[in-house]
Amino acid sequence: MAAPLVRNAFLMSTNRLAKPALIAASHAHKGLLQNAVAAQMRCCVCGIKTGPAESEENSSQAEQSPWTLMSAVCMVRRPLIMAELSDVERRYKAHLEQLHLETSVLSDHELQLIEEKVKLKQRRSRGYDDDDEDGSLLLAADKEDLAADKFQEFQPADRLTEADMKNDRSSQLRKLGVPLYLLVKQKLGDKAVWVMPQGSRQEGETLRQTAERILLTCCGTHLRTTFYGNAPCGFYKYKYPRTMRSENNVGAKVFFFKAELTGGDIECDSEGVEEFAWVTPEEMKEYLPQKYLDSVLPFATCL
Amino acid sequence: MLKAIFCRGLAQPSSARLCKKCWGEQVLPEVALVQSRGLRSREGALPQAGRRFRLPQYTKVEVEPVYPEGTIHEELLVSMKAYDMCSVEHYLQFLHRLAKKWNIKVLESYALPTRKIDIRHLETASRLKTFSEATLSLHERVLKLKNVTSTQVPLLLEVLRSHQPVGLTLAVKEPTEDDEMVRFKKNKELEELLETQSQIRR
Repeated sequence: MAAPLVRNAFLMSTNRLAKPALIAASHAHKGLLQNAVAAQMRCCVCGIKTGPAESEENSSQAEQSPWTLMSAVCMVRRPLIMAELSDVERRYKAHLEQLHLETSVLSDHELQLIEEKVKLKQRRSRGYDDDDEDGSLLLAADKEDLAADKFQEFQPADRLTEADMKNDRSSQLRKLGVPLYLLVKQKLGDKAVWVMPQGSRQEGETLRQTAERILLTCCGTHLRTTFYGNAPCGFYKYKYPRTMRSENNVGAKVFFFKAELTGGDIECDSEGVEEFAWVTPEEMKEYLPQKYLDSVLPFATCL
Repeated sequence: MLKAIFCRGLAQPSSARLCKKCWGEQVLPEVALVQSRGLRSREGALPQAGRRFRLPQYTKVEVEPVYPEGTIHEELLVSMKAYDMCSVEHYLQFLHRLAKKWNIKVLESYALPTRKIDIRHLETASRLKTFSEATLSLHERVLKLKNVTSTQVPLLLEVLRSHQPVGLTLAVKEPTEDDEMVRFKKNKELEELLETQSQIRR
């Protein structure tokens, strides 16, 4: 991949994320069109070949960039229950309920209740002479009692799970009302670092295919995911430590892809992955270094 | 692909100032300003101003956007189902407004007929007799979007999933013929005729 391709094809900054049209433009081979090289270019983001038809001379012109292309996966576990209401929301909800109650009209059931109350009073005043002349099989009051009993039987589950009590960060069922992101302790070089699962791109792969492959290798085959799309959501560039640097290998450029967890558990393979954690954006500060966190937080937020 | 120049209102063509609609790029949304023939004089300018006295004239032209192959979904179908009509309707409106904001064209926005689901319980003393516990109505709303780029899709999905109401099932897919045929009622007479026709042929 030629260096100009990587530099121009994906221009990311925090405010540009808010305008999808801009990103569309920047991805849409703007760099390629402007650079107008006679060689056939292959976009590493979507795998599309653009430019004139392949010829043997041109393929040998491809420059080797000193940056390794990597893709990382930002795996989200979407909230399983409704988020907790804020103070304003709670008060407004109570206010609305009261308002709806006061402005509503009596339902059939409530009308029946009232009628029956009146009838019972009359019967008591007369003194139990008639025996259920037009008595319905089930009085409205009885229906209410039955319903109340059934409601008592139903026990909704707790908002706080076992994992919350133990503060077990490796469990998916942690904070059910909030989206959780996956962080993995991976071996990059010789050190084990807390990152989002990442790996380098191989020949002939699109970045999204790389991301899918990395997820399988890092987290096992039992995990069921849905990738949100072909376009990356974030970018991070880092240089290798001076001892590992060379002419052809200055550092790595990581493109983040967003994926959603639809089911299954992580199988921790010892191949590079030691531990994993499901964390909220606030807790990420404890794991990730500052610069990495700065590139991750723009897309790993709770909307 | 026409090259858009700049918005009306600027006195001088400047490479630093880009049209808000198209940002001066070649792959564009639908409107471009093209230099047409003729020159008009700038408001309040005197002939002594020289080159700046007369400015090129621009007309708005409808351009069909051209996207590189594989980076666009021509039609995207978003269907939402829930038992609560209020939440489905409001979610549909939310999505429609979002599409409007992001300049995504909405081809169609329709509702599928409500499905009544009867929940029946076996009566305690019998094996066959059932009584109806409750009747739920499943509401479904569908929105069809046009020309959603592959960079907009993940953002759209993110926003939709974050703001999905409780109890609502969301499905985002490319529309097929089945999705179209679901909207129509079965024509029994037509089906019978077709059957008799096929039998005759055999």
